[in-house]
Amino acid sequence: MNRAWKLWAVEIAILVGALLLQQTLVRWIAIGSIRPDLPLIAIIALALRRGPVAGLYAGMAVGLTLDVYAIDALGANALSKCLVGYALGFFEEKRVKSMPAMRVVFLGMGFLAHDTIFYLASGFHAHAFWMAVFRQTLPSCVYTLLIGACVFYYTARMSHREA
Amino acid sequence: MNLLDWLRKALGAWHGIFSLILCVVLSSLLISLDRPGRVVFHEVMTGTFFYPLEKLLSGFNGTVRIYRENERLSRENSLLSVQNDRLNQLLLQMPRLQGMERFQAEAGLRLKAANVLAEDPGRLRTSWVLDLGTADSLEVNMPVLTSRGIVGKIAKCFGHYSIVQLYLDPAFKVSLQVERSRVRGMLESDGSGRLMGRFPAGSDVRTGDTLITAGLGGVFPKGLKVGLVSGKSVSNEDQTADIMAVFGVNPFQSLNTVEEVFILIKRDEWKLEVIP
Repeated sequence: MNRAWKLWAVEIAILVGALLLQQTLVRWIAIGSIRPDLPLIAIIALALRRGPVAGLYAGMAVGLTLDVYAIDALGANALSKCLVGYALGFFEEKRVKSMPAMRVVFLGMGFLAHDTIFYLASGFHAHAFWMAVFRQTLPSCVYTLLIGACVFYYTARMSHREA
Repeated sequence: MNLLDWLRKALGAWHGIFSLILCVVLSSLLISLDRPGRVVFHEVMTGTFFYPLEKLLSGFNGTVRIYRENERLSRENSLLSVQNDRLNQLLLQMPRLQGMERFQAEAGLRLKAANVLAEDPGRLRTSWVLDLGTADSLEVNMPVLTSRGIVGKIAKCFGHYSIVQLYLDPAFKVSLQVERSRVRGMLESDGSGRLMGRFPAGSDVRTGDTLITAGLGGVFPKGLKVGLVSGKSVSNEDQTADIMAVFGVNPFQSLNTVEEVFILIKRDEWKLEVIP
């Protein structure tokens, strides 16, 4: 197995790991209904590294997996995650040199866009939409950004050390 | 260029856009499914692709749940064990307390019950700590006893606890009287854990005689039970053998088994008072 395939295997393993952690660990670290979105962190990290198409497929795969267990919002996760993965893929490392802090900003933008698309695709309108944004999205966004910041700083440090 | 070639070139050049369109169409199709269609999709996916994953996750969550439940049950078990031990102790204590209550009613004395908190860790058991003090009307020299007999007297008194000088302390002396012959003597410890009764030589004292307090010292009132005469003990080293007869004494109340005691609330009759 050459280096490129190894990298892909590692990235797929990270996506699967994020999904597993989301279903297991996150329920223990959740603050009420506020919980971080680990798969989204993994998708955005992958998109920023590999570009739009990789982000798109990663988002689609992870979104579909999550949708299987969300009958009422079937397809909404897939749509929101693949769009966010695709869009943030345009800021990939090869095109835009970004510091970890900038990646956290991308993560924040991606999170807000993801939830907006998700709520609209799930049929949230007017009052319910804004309630969900203020009560669920914003606090969860902060929580996700905190974890995402740790992940981005750690990966940047590791890359720096390898270089 | 025919249509197939054009399509191949377009897919190569615009594969990102085509992938996006494909994903959006697929997601939109899923969103547009009605309820039964969604349930079928869910069942097909969970029954095939996600079955191993579900098995893994439910196994992990089950393990975590069992671990937590085990932790909770262990905690409950410890708590219940402690409660059970305490209840057992209370059950064992009940007959003793009932006996003390009966004694208090029968004796007609002003008694106060106290618990033994600690004892002198030395080789000779010479003192105890009780859980009552001056705040509970205790004073120095008050007699300490059980329903069987005397055990000592209050030697020091603090706010909420006091120290008892036990009869095994060589410095502890009590005036005695043989219940049968009314001969008076003195109770003391020989310093090795044995009690002795000293009587004038030739006194009418026999093995098995009951000894009671004589009430001469001002500390113990007359008539409290002390022990039984166990036999004459004449030592070669005792220079006073021709003047005093020394008898062994078996106390009625062994100090090994005492957990609760009574303090006789009374004033020291020999207390010096300054006359103005």
